Amino acid sequence: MTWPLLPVLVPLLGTLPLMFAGRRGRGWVDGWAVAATGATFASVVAAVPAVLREGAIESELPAALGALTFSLNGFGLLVALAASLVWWASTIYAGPYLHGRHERRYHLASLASLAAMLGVLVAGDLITLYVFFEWLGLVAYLVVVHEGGPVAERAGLKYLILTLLGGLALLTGVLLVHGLGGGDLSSVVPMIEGREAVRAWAAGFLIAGFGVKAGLLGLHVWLPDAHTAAPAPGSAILSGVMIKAGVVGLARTLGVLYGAPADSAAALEAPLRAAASLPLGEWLALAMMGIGLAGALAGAVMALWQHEAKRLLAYSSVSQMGFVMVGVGAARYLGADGAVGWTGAFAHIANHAVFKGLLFLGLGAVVHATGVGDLRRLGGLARRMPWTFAFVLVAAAGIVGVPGLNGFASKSVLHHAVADVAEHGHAAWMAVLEPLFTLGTIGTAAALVKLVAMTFLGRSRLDEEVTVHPTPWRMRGAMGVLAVVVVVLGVAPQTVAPLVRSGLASWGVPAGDVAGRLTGPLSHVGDLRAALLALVLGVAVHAVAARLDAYAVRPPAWSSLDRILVRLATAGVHAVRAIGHGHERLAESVEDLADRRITALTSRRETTSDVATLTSRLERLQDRMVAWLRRPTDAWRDLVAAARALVRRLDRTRMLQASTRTERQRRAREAARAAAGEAREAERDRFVHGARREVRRISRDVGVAIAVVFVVWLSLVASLTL
Amino acid sequence: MTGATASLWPLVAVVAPLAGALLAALGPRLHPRLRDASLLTVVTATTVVAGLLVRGTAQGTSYETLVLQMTTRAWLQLRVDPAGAAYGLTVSALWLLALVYALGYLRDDARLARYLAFVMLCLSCTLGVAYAGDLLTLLIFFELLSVLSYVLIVHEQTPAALAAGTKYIVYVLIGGSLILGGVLVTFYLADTSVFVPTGFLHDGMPHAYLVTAFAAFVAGFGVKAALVPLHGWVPDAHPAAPPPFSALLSGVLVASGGFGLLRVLFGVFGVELLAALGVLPWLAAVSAVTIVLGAILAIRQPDLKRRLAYSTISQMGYLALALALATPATVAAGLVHLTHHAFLKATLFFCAGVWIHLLGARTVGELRGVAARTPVVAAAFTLAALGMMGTPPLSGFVSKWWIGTAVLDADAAWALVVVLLGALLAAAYLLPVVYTLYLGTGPYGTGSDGAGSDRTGSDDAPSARLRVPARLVVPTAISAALTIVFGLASQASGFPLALARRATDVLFGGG
Repeated sequence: MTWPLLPVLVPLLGTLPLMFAGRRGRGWVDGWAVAATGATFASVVAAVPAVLREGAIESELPAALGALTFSLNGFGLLVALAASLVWWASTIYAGPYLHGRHERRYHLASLASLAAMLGVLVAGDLITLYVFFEWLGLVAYLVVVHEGGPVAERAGLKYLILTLLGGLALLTGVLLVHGLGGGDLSSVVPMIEGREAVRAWAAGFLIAGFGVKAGLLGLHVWLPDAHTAAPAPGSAILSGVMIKAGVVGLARTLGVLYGAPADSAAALEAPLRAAASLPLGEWLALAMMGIGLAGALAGAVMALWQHEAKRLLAYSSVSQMGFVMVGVGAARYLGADGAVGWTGAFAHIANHAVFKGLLFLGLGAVVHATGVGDLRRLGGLARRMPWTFAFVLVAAAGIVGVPGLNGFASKSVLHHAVADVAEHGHAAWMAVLEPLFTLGTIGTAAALVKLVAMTFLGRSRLDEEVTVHPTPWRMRGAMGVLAVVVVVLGVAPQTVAPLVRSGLASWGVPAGDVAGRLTGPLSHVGDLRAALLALVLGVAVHAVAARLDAYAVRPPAWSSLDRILVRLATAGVHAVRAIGHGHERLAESVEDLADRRITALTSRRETTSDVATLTSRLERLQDRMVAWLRRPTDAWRDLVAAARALVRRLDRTRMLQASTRTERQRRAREAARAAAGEAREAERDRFVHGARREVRRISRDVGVAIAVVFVVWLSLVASLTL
Repeated sequence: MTGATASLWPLVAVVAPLAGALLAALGPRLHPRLRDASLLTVVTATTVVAGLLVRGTAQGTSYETLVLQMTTRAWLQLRVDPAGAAYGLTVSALWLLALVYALGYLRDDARLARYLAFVMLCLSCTLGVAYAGDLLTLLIFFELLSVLSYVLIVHEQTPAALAAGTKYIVYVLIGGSLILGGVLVTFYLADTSVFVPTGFLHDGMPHAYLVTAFAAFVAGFGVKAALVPLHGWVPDAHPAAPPPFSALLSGVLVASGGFGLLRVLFGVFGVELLAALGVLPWLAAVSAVTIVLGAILAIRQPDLKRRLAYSTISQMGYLALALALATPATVAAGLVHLTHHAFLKATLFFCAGVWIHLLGARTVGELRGVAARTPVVAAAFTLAALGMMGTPPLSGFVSKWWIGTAVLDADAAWALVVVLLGALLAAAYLLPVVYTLYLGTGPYGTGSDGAGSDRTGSDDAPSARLRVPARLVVPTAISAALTIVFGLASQASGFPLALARRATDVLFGGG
């Protein structure tokens, strides 16, 4: 069964007509892209029954370094469903938004990225994953720089450098894992005596490689610029879907490659003495929880301080991915009890794709309508853009975790996972995890409240001459689809339960009551209270900050990680240039030295030294010898000339001469023409010459034919009459 | 190892291009189409013979031809083993593509006859290097190749070309003398010069002489193989030579230095002796510096061919590094890289040549937006650039992967860092060109900003598509397609990896 391959092949085939599209008649590009992404979504949906029935579906393609293996399990399919849906919606949206600006290039890049993204999700071994991961990174570049201009180019450059570095880290990790004998994405990396350090390094490289894509704190610097510079539908797929490739990679690394053995729950019975005494998997899990929490908090805070709408959403993505990483770390730490963590993490990945995509599409509609993306110059749009306001409100409520929408269920499950770790962890400092998590949710709420309030509510701060264009119905339709999904998944979160259960089964984690876990928060008082508290405190934080004008306070310049990295990169560029210059100068000086030595040796000096006279005498002797040696050659040349003259005289028919003469004449003519720069004349001449030759040949043939016919006729007549 | 079969096929492969050279030298007496057809036939025949030799060696036979006796103890002999057969096939196949390209590129050139004659002679000499059975034969063909290439480098006879040619010949003659010195020392030590799989020099000989011979060989072959600091001729020779020959120069002729080094290291010295002498770490260090420095110097080079020349220096460093680490896996990976790089670099040079020929665009800045005018050529360039960077699943990724795994197996983690750094720097000097081709704007580009130029109906003259002659496009497309084929089908038998593994089996002793 090629179920794993079909979702990858459909968009890939969809790129082919786009690649060969001519310059004219490009109206069909938009419709074709929508059809292709729709077909992809359909193929993903069609795979659901098969996966639910059989668990993980494997497939293989002999290629590259042996075989590319594919494996589609419940988790991958869940993310693929969310991904292809968001992609489809954003492609529907893209048509009116892009309005013909380099549409073909955008849709080509978009479809190719979709193929690569789904390839990452269905990869069955590390090499296959790496192949699609690299392609995803490279093709998405075209989406980032789509708008053109210096801002997009700078963002694209930053994105590309970090993607390449991440790709190299990932390659190193994959190489190390293969060196240890692992590589299959369904089994643990082998533990070999004496090579534990290599195993740990491999984990580090894999996490770094995936982390760049996922927006791990510290490696996230490309994300705000890239997601802001891309056009709105592009940002929707970048932020909504592509960063998930990194997070899913992290989940697979921790969950499978460094996964827990089945009985690890027993290991957690013993009290935890020191983090260093943990086996590698658990240590990585704790580290991931730490980095995830840091990212969640830092992302939320940085989001709160942005005044550009898309940048705020980008930092919010960093923050939300931090939450997912916390879930992944918690799930791994809990080992056999980790189902709650995996459920929360994957449910949140799928949910986040939908509501982040919707948020970007909504804010994009605002930019499309008003031309303004800065929050300080927006406001009061609720009445003038009611549909967009409604959709953005739904999405914002979803991301904040308002009960009844999809974010609530997944956030609450993640919260439970963190609480479980704090409870079973037996380490005193783990008690701080839960409050930090709650703090993160409050920060998220505050940032989104700021976004909605400053864009839609309050009095309008728009300039006078800005007109609010109506939003095309296609854009509204795309947003509507996603909004409906947000509501449906919120009211019935157990819809994703079968897929989650299937995924847990294929990873060997005891599933427990997945559906109950997902619907639990809807009736659990503690969860409801936590969600509403976060919302209320978020509103309060925003109100206080706005009143105190805290948003005008900028963090100190030295704390900007971005600036540090830019400085490092510039230093690198200078170093490269310096090496180049140094090399050039060194080469030049060596050449100068050599030249001087050679001229010194070979130049004739007008001194009266013995050496000089001897040299000149030797030279004269040389000349005489050369002249003497030349005599036979001259004699030979004379002989050849005489022979030629003889031949010419004997050649009565002048055939040889004629041919060389015409050859020479023709060459001379051509040379003259080439010198005069009239290549076309020469071409025409050659053509005429060739044509004449053809005509002569044909006429000769025709003449021969006529002669033959005449002879035959004559002989016939003769035989008849004689 | 099965015994060597006496056979004339190696000699046929080496001598056949000489017939082509004679045909080419007849020049204007011969009708152009007849000359083209006969040359293509000769080179195709040579390629077929090389392919048959590869098939034979893959099955275990090795072919030997004793050509003529030069001294009482030295014969001019050809012996084809899997490594030589693989290199020979790469050479012939690439030569075929380059010949088609040259017939298109130099069509209106007045000195085409001279070019073709010498290119045929160089093919003969390169095959002689590939199939050389002993050190003296290798030296003779190597020197001939170096000297005959001079004529092709200075083909255009501009002052810059002549200066580059002078530099080249000085470097290469000094290198040749060093190789000769090494050969003399070897003869003094061992009285024989036939390549033996585990080397015929052994530990009992005085180490000072052995190390001197090694240094002489490394320096001598290193000049051709562009090891830093002997790489000075490469950045000038490549822009000066006509693009069809630059492709050959970068693809296989610089590799001939690496191949000679391979023969000497494993056929004369042998792995145990090299380990005992302790000289390999020096070679490894030099190759690492070559990889990194070559790549750094390639960045920000405005002239495209010069940039590609520095890239060749860097990539050939990979081969030298693989040889220096001296395990079967690394050497096999190095040989695979040789073949893959040959076609990748040839594609890049073919594309550069098309733009020089049709647009006069020599620098990267002049290539702004050219992709709209020559889409197929630009696509080939992008493919080759991605392959050179090591993007999976193209051929460059496969060779980098094998080098990476082999290096890790050999416990040389620092070498992995160098390999990956080289890949990152390759992206740094190739991706800007790709970007300029597609997204740059300028005199040949499609417009001054992103908006507006994609609307239907806009058809301004400067952005019209160019008709690229078939003889230029077809070799480019074929070698770009080979990139994909070598990448996707790398594990199949008959492809470089299988051949390289067979070759290292023989080189390291045993069948």
